[in-house]
Amino acid sequence: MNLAWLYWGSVFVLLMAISSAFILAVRQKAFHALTTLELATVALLICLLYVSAIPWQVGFAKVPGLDALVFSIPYTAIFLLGLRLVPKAGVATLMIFGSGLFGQLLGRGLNPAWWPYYLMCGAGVEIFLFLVGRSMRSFWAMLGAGVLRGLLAYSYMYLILAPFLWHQFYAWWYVGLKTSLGVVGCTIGSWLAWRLAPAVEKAARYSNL
Amino acid sequence: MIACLDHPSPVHTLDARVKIAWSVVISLLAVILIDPLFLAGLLILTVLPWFVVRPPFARIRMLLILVVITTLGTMISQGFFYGREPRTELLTLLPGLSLSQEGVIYGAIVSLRLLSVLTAGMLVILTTHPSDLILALTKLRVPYWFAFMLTLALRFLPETIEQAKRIMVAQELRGAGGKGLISAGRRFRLLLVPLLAASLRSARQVALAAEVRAYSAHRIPSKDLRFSPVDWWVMGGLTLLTILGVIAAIVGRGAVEVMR
Repeated sequence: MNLAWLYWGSVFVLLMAISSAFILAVRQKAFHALTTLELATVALLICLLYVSAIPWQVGFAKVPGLDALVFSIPYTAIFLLGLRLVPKAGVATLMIFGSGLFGQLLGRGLNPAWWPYYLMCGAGVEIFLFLVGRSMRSFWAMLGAGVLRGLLAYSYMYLILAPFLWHQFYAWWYVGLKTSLGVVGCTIGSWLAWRLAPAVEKAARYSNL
Repeated sequence: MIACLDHPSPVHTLDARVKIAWSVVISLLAVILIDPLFLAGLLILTVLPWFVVRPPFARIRMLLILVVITTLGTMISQGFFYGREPRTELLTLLPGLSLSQEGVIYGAIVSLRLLSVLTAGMLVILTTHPSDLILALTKLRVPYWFAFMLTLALRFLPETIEQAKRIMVAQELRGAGGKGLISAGRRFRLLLVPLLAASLRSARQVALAAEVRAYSAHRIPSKDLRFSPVDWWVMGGLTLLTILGVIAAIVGRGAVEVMR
């Protein structure tokens, strides 16, 4: 049975949810246009998200399951530091979508089937940040954003994207293991970001020209 | 770092938007086609332009490595973690963790799908400079600021890698070296702050340079994209391919029901 319609259904629901959230955010004046400096900072973070994965492409990261743990630590750390540096609506989505598209442009090849996945992960974090506030000063807010992204990314990947788009069927225990390891990696990444955030913010303050 | 090949070929001269359309059509067909024969046909179709491009051996070797990793990886992962019945066990590693014949076969079929998308996407990347792809995206109504951000990310890439290497060498000289996963994690933690600090300074310089050059004003790209007759022909071919693919997906569905 071809269940690709479930994927497209999820894409449709996602687009509806994003459109509604966008209209709501515009009405509440939640969006502030990014300055050139903020755009450059987000571009730098997108680049760092891509670079951070390069050293882990060999060794432990190739063991099935462990890859989720290894890759999510640097990704989450840089992602959360980015959210601390540019605390504006839309930046989470911009970083996730931008880094995905950047990776596609540089080597994996353009594949629009992945784009709703990036948007979905970003939209989940945006809603979380909308609820808890954008400054993310507490450890729990950072942990929440990091873990939520990991949970959404791995669960959507293995429960929706893999079976309904790529026709790959995994045992439930494997999906659970991979998602759990990914969430553990995101937890470590969130802790790392929380520890390093004051130093990075200080560096950002003193890097004025 | 940037995968685009310098030597010209007929595929290089195609408009970047046509190549994006090629990538989209192949991704769509890879998703909707289920019959292994049609999937194999799709893979052959995506490999054909490679003979026109004739990439150097190093690139072909890289592609072959990716093909082997993708195929074996999918066959092994589906072999072990395939969640459907029946399962004919070929090898048992642990209780409840065994390699199944059905999983391996299914993994081989799935890898046809993944390889089609991979070879089609790699061809686009090999024959189009990233800045042309970004220009094509702006022509396809992607907001200019988003394209500008991607261009900046491209510009930061070699510099960031170089900066990271420099910091790591400096840290090694101060005794922060070591091997293994724990050590790698410690080095990553030590690397992050100086790398971000140095890169943020660079980001500020670029932002300032962009603003003094009136970045926010109405942009006129220095290069323009125009469809040639060949581009129109290729677009026509892609439309036909999509229609045939949809028909093949409908026809192929029954065959797979029987196979499963």
